[in-house]
Amino acid sequence: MSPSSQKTLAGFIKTTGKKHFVLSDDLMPNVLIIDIDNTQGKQYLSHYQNSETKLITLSLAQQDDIPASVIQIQKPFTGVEILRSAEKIKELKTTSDLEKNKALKQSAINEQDRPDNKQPSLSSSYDPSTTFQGMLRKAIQLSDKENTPVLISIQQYRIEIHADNNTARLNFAKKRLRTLCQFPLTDQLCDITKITITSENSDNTTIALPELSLDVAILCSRGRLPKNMAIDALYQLKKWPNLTRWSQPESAIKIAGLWSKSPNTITNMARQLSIPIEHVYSFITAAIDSNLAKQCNGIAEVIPFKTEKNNTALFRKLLNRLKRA
Amino acid sequence: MRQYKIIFSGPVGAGKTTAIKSLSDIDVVATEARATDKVKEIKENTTVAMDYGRINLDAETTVHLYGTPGQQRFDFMWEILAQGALGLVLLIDCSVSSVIDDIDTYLSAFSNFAKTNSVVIGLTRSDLLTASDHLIPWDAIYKKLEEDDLSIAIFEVDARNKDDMNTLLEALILSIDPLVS
Repeated sequence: MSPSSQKTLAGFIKTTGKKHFVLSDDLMPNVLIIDIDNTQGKQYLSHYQNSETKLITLSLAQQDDIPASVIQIQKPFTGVEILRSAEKIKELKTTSDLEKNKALKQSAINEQDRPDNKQPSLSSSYDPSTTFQGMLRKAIQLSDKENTPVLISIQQYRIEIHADNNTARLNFAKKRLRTLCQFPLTDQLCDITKITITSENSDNTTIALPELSLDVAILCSRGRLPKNMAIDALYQLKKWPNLTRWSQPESAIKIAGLWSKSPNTITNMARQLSIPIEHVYSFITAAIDSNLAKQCNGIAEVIPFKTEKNNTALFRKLLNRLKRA
Repeated sequence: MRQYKIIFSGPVGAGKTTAIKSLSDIDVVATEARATDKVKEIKENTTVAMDYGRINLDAETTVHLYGTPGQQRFDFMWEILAQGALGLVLLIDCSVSSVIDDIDTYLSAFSNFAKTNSVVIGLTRSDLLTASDHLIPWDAIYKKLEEDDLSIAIFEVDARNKDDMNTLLEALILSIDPLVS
């Protein structure tokens, strides 16, 4: 929004609205107020609308293509409307987890039943190039191509990429990656440069590149598929991720078990395993990004897995026992 | 009474006996003897015949857990023990420089078994690597498995940790029958 509008709004929040809001520089705030009458605002909206952050949009006209969970305020607006929005957000927060789960399951069913499910629906796809996932890919490619370490700088966060020994060094705790992955990134916000002298700070966290790529892809995907990935293509799992220590999307062990048998499509895996397709989206996005899986060329085919009935009861009992223990 | 077995194998000191202890419902029967060769530099006692543990699923169903002796001079026993097993859990100490050779040795030794059965790998003692600021050489390990055209579950595990061992066994079961759950 314009600097003057921003100043007026910030002033209001600091005074009359201080019971409802606290201004914050957090990259993953609870509430984000965005002016969507400009390109940058629209970009922020598309990135945050699938996150936990509650959104309030300011625009000259009501927009029909905005999800109902986003609160729209028409310009010119007054402080009363901002306060009403805060009340609405409080109400929205009381939505139970059960309802959320129901909605997720329903969306999975809808996704699988869509007759034109060659591509995921718009809300199930995203553009990785404007996320930390895309920036990381760029940096790894640069480090690999130029055979030199590369530094990614985003505000105070620094990530050194060493493609030669397949490691990365972070100047922050690994759990902070979540913050970086919530924030829409452009080349202006994210600096990627080749470096010669690397950091020797012992407080830095060193992690394997496949682990970093996997974590970042899961956090950026959030149950969506990158827009350039085809839902009906065949993908092959080449290597299992380290599921006891690295982040894992839901149903990861089941997906890996089936997928390691033969190349498979996304929809087929979700159908065979009876799991929400979002789980497969996250897993496949992460596996491709961390080079654990690949898209197959035309020659590959799905070999349907057939269960040998002899030991099914035993395996079911054993699995129940292992999960219960 | 239905009886099944799962085999645990891997080099000396990789944690086979400990892993079976983590999973077993009974006190593990170990055939340990005082180490006399190079092994005594690693540990005082070592398994000479096999380790035995058991998971009792119900009154009718038992899964027997067998650990092979680690030393290569006992390799004649490995495939004998593996006959008729549901699957194989390989435990490999990833803190040693011979980690890739060890994976190679054990996958070769069980190559006939692996053709028709499921195998999973647990990489143990990674805490020793972390303590010396080193990482597991995932690149080399993945390359080795790719060369052998194997897409098998390979996880970092602590043999003392029941959750880790449960996850590894879960992966073994889902590698055999991914649709079972």
